[in-house]
Amino acid sequence: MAEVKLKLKKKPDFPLEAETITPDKFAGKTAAEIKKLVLYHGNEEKTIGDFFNVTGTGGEVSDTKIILDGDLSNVKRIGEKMTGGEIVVNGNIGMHIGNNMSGGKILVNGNADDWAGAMLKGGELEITGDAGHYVGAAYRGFWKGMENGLIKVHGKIGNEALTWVTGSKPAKRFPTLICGGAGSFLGIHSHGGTIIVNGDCDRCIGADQIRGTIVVKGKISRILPSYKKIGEVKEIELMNGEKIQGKFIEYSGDHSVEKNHSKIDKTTGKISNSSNGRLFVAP
Amino acid sequence: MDNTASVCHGPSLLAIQDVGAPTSTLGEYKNRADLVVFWGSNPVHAHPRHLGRYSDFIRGYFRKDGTNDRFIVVVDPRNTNTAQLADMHIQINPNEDYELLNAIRATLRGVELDGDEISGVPKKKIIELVNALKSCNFGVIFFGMGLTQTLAHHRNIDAAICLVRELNDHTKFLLTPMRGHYNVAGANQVFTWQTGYSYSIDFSKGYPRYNPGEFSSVDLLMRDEIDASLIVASDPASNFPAAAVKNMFKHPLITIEPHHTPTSVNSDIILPPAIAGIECEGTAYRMDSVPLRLRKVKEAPGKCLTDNEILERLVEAVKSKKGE
Repeated sequence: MAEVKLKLKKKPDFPLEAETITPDKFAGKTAAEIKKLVLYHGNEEKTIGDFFNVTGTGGEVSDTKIILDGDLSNVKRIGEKMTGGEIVVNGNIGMHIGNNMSGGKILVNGNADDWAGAMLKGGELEITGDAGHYVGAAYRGFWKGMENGLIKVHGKIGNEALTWVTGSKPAKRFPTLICGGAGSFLGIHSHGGTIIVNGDCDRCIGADQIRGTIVVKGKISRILPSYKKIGEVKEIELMNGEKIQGKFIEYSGDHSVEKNHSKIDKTTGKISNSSNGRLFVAP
Repeated sequence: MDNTASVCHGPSLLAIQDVGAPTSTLGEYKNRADLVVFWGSNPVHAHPRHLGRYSDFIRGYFRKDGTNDRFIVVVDPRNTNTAQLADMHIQINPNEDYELLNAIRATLRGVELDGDEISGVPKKKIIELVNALKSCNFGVIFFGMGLTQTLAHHRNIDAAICLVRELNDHTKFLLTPMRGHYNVAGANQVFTWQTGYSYSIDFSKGYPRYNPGEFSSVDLLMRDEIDASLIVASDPASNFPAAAVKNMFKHPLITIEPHHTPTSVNSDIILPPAIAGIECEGTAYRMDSVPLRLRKVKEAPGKCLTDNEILERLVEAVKSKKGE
């Protein structure tokens, strides 16, 4: 694999917009050519060479691996719209890491700021520390958020992760989020997302969920009144066919939304058997 | 570039961008509304002319008997003066508006709720409220800071808008934000037709980009990402968090402001303009986005310029300095 190493010289004073740091842009370029790629620092146009020491050359897109070192908590938009290859970040990273990416892999060995993996279309984003708000969320005003791919956060995430996520069984798109703990409004307006929380969550989980599965292995501070308790289960089947063993309490919802797929039959009062629109919480 | 919406009704704008908004001008409510909900707003104190001119006491074309023809609902954790005027007061726990809106929506869809009490409101009262909402001829929700600036912010509005949308299956229902700061609706309107976005706009790349939370003034100041600020006719020093204000005072601060405010007294440069509507002509937007012409009443003292002239001259000066 063609490795390109970037080392931050000094933490920038203002946020650095680095959407050019992707395997797509680095592919087939030498270190000298990579140094000339444009970055935005405040309202000034700078180059990668102004902020980073660069070694190595890029190969094919899928064969390019970028390794970033230093305190990058002020560097935004790394891996934006990437389609392949790999990025490894050793340290904390700023906002919008891997937003709109459709392939490849990003590994952050540290914490990430807000909008990590926003509107992901594919690929994999792994964060070993915590992540900020709006993980995998839709940007303001978008009606389609994350469409495919996997986000794994070992630590906790902030509020409103995976808003407007849209998955589809027939099209085999299973946008998935696995995290250690979450804030409030996880998966709001979900249209078929899969969310697994290994720890506790704050309030209003799965608000306005039309389709989708949320599994919480810890506690939820308050479950929404529009969720209906169904009973206890010992095994959960996720949208992509994978199974999770363990005792969970099953809820269906969100019943405040007209189009939700776990409809209540008006004559019998029974909740439909669809696996969609479910919330599972550990007892 | 930002405006006061970001500490006021910005969350409403976010929700409107997510789920739309069924709204109308205030005259419609005056003439037609027979059910008025004030959610998290206290117009008796915050909008003193609102009840008398548009929403309660006023006689409308189809509401000939004024207040007797209207049913007033107030949702507020406190027993405010508005709540004392109301026909129904829903005393809700603070910060639990989302759950109540959610429960109302579910009840409206015919779902039997599991708990006996939601957000401190008994289930019986929720059913009573839903029946009132469904049986009116023309309803309106006015919402204020109690909904936009409590926990869940724009998600409260999101749920309120969804509720109004669903109520339109049964009757006619609309909603309107109770905009506060003078002409903040106008700032939103002008920003939107100039740049495409209503607030929290970034021009550092030469074209407008929008992302509240990233480019909104409080967040920029909290992260100390600015090196100068120009404040026009607003007072962030008394509205922003202390840490943000501290960062603002660290850097050069210019205000265009005729009054003594915590912001203007701490500025490096103050440019006092003529006051629009008193000392010069202008346009201001009402809370329902209706533009109103302001007339000049008296001459401005000394050589005061209008806001418009000051900003135009600043633009000229910046252009000549940049050699454009």
